Amino acid sequence: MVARKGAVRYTAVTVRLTTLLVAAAALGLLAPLPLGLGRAEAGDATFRPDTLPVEKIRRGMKGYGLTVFEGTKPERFDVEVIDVLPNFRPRQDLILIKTKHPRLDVAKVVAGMSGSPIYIDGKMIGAYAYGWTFGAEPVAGVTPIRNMLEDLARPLPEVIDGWPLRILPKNGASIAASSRHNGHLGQAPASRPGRYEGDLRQYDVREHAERLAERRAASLPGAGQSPLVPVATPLLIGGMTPGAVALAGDLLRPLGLEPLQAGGGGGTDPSAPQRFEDGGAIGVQLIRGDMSAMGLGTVTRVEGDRLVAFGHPMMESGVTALPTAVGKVLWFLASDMRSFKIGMPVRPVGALVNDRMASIVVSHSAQAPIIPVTMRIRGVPGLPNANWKFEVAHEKFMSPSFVSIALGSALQAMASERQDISWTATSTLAVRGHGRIRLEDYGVAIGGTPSAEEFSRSNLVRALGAVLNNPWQPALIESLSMDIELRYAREILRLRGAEVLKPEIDAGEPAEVRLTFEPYSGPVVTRVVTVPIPAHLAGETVQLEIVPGYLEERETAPPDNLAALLANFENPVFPPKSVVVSYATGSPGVSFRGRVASNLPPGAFDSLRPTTSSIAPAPFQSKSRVVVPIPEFMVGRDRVTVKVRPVLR
Amino acid sequence: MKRHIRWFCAVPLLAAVLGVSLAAQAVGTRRFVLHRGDDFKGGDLEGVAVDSAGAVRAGLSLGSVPIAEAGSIWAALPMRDGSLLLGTGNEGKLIRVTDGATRVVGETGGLVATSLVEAWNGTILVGTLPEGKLLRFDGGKVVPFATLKGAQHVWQLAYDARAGVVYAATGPEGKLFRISRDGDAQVYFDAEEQQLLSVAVAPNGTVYTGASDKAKLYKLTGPGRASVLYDFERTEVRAVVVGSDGDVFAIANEIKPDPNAQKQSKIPEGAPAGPVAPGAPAKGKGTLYRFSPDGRPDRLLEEDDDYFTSLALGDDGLPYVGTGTEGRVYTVDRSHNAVLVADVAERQVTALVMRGKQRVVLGSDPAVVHPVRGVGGPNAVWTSKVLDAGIRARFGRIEWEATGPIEISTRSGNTKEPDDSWSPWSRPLTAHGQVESPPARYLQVRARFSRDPRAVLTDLNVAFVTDNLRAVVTEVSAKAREERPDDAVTSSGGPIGKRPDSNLELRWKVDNPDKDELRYRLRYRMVGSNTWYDILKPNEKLTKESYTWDTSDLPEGRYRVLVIATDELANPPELVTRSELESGVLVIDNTPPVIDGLKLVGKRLQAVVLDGVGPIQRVEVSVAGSDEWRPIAPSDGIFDEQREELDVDLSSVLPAGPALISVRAYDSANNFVIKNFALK
Repeated sequence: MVARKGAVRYTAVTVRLTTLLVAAAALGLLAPLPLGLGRAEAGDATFRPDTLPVEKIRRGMKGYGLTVFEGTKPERFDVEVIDVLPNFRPRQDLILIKTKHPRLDVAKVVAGMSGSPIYIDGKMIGAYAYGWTFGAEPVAGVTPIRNMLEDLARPLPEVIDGWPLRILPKNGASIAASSRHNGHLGQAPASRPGRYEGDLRQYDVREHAERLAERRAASLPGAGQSPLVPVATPLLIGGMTPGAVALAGDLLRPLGLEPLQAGGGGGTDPSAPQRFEDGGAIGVQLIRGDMSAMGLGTVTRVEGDRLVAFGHPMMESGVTALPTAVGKVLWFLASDMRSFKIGMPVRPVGALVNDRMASIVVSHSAQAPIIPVTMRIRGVPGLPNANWKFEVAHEKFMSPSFVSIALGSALQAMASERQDISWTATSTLAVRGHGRIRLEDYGVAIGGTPSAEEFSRSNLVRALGAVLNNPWQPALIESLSMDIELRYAREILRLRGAEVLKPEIDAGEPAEVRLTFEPYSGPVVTRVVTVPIPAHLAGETVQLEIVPGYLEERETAPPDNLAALLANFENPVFPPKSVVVSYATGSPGVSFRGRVASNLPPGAFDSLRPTTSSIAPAPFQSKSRVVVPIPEFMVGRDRVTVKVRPVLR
Repeated sequence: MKRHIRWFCAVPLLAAVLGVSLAAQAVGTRRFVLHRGDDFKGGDLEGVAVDSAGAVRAGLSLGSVPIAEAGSIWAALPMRDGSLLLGTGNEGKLIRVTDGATRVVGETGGLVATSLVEAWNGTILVGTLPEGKLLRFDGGKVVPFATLKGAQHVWQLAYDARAGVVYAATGPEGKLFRISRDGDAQVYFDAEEQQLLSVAVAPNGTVYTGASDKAKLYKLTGPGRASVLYDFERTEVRAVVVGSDGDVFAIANEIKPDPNAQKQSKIPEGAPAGPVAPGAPAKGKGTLYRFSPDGRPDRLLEEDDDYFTSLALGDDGLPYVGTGTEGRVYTVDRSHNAVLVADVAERQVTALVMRGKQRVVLGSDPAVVHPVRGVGGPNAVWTSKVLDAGIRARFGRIEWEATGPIEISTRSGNTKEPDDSWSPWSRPLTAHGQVESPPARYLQVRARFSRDPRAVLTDLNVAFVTDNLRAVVTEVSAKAREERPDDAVTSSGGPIGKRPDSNLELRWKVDNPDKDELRYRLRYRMVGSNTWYDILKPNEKLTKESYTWDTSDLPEGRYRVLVIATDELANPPELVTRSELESGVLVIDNTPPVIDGLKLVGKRLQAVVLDGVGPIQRVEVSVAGSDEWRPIAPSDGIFDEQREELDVDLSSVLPAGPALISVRAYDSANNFVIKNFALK
């Protein structure tokens, strides 16, 4: 009711504006006005004779839309124009329509219909794109085709983050023209939207998701600001555990993707269409293989090699490269809250190359990079298939997210247990131009299998996120593999406490620290660690810190480039099954461009730190460490002190 | 005899106010007097030398070759082809300098190429940190030469031509390695200290090595046969060299690193490297010693405000030291006459080559090579530090002492650092004369030695007179010499305060912008009266900002004091300015209260206690002969007036038999009176 009143008022405004504009045109003042009226005419880059500009849409006009209700063939549904909301988004109107179809009368607004083309008088007016949560009527918002064609006309770079798009244009001239703009579009990686800006060594998928969600919330109408929201893109997930789907929901729902347990593995159906068509189902494949995740929507308009779809952004990530596929719809699942299409990919075709405000742009000929992932699980008796293979979209956020989700899912699927599990994982990350780096992960999951959440904090996922989000250069991940070994045991030694055997020692004499460990079962274990204390600490009280090896970070230089970043990931801490006894030596150290110098005398330290340049070594306090291997992971930390006598006795 | 040279006097040269005897000729005239070595330093020394006695003469003339590829230079080795090989930081590059052109010729992979030495007739060895690698530089290639087990830092290399071995001083395990030609490295000496920073070999094969963190200089006569030649009781022996006559020279420092750097210190996070806030330079002090071949120490030079980073011997056998804070080079003779021979723009002089044809001064932060072109030259110019008159001044004559013709110019301005707003340099004066620079707060003097490179400038002074600015008295305070603490609450029952002192300490503060000598006059008046009386005697001249006023002869009452300040001692009568400020009310109470009408009615004590100025503070009663005074309260229960009536039941105090009873009353200034009566 409110919308109708508003519509009447807007119409009146439009009439008055039209009157003014006629007058303005007569005076020759129209050209500079940034309004949409009068733009989509012959000569306009977005003009198409088979489209109807929004200014010509009137209340009550009737037409139809195209979408796939089942299978791969688009079918018609009737529509009637309610009215036009001018400037619904910046320089973007919204056409409100009522849909009429027996299925839509039940399902109302359907996730997955985003992008369905809408026609009036046989001319395309735009794409089904916006709806209401808990909508009581089959009413939707249509993104005008002109805005989508503007997105389609945007030039694209030949290379995205180091990956050549390999677009094979129908019209070579227009692509050549596009290429000329590449200098502008090939932005420096640091300015790419969606890049993680935090501490790379502490890359965090959840934090990255939050940053992206904040950006999206700032740019899209959302709950609390407008009842109209983009029709969610159902993210159809196959081959994953519910826990993994739940994590996917946590990460991706704020980005407008609605993870749903579905199916599909990304194979090809020979009977599937070879190309996309207007109104056909399209999937954006974020993972495929033994596991799959596909964002499902509808193609709005195919023009040569490219097409526009969705009518709203997928994640508004701008120029990107994500694999796409022709989709097959199995059914509309109706729901009071939000109905959605359930489907699966049937033929990988092309790539999503631009994710904009009004649409996603897909190229048939572009090929998106993917990361082949293999996972081998060992230590589970009788495991039928210990090897997993899948491909993950190569994208700054999606890759680390789906790698952690998929690895956790695979492990849970294969080794779900109520028992304690200790695990160690050795992973290899192949980065083009930088060879392979080896990464170690480990953990003890008490009372069950390690979850996908744990993998999201793994060294592997942090390294993957850091590499993809590095600020220096595009990085292409060529492959990723993980070999995980499980042991059904709680490999934990709890540090009960520490005591120095001699609280006061002579200069040059080592300190002896007795550590008492409590294993999960079995007798208490003690270990005496000998810590050399140099003679120059005579007269000092030395504080000895006892920490697990996996918590003791090695000194590294802040990375200056991708190679240095990779090197820092290879050995970030001391052996996880070790105890480290350390003390501050009192001498400073510096790190610079991959080099770390500790225990420096004050004069040298002063010379190493210029006052005239800020490109300088970073200072740190030097530590002396004794690393003692232990058979299990230590839990807990402690501190003891020992006094060094001032003079030799 | 040890000579302690304090080169850097922090006191600005607002010195030398002329005595009263000259007042008739030049009231308020002052002089910048440059006389000592300290006075002539702090400015810009281009090709001139300043010695500790205050003589300025033509010094080292230096060229300048910036090294863009490095931030610091740690070592320099003259090559046989006439080029210079540099070991640099902070990327461990080897850089060759040929005729002013620089080229990276080797990468050590370390943070710093710390030391270079030519051994075995042309083999160039490079010491590095942080991996403690000993490398060989071989025609553009840097290859490993020897493994120094346990070493992370190679600080210095020394070649023993007689034995055909190289010594490497290393850290952090304080080991000295002896390396043979085939790369075999043996620990020659293992010190208790963390670092061995320096090493040198005497002509007779004796090895000297200096340690840190305790600044010990060791003398080694064989593997492991070490004795401490000298303990400097500092933090490091930075460098040691041996002269051809067997004299050993060593520099030792006491260095305190930037405390903030220690506070910030932690393992760097994984964020991409970005700008690092420049560190504050370390503070330190340095010393240079000479040891005779038989080990007798002789302290040649001592710096309290700078420390020493490099040491080299000149062709003349004299030691040259580079400093770590001011970028200076000193030399000193056996008479301890120290001469500042170069002052480069870089913060540190980290290496010196002062012998042979290729003499260079190597500056770091930033890295610059300064070839020594010679002594003096047409561009030898001494520029004074900025001389501050405090406020705007007119300048008079400039006079100097010199052994030959020199050209003196001046410039002036009102900003602390000379900039475009300063006047241009004046026309050069070749004889004493009037300063031509316009009136300003700051002045700089420049001397050119181009007319006679052998000329020596020894004394220089410039007369100036500042604008007369009024001194203003901003605060006057007074307190008794013995006074209760400010936060004490007076009590009628607590401990008794000290007896009052009739001497009042008057103090005042004055804002005296032109630092004129001031004369003060003090007056007082009673509150309610407009007549001021002098406190000082008729010809008493008071120039301090305090005065002890004896008030014992004054009637008790409330007073105010007036402080009058004039600059008549520094200015002619027509220019004298004056300022005065009145104090708050001062209570002067030097007489005790009075006890009136004291009587005993039954066992009740009755009396009236009166004081002239303040309220009664306390009344007590005691049986004579006892030191136990019992406080009693006034009739209204509170001591708050100058007159208090007493009517107190003393049943609990009075003895049964006859006794002498004492009553004691205090006023607020702790003056008291005692009155007795007999109890029958």
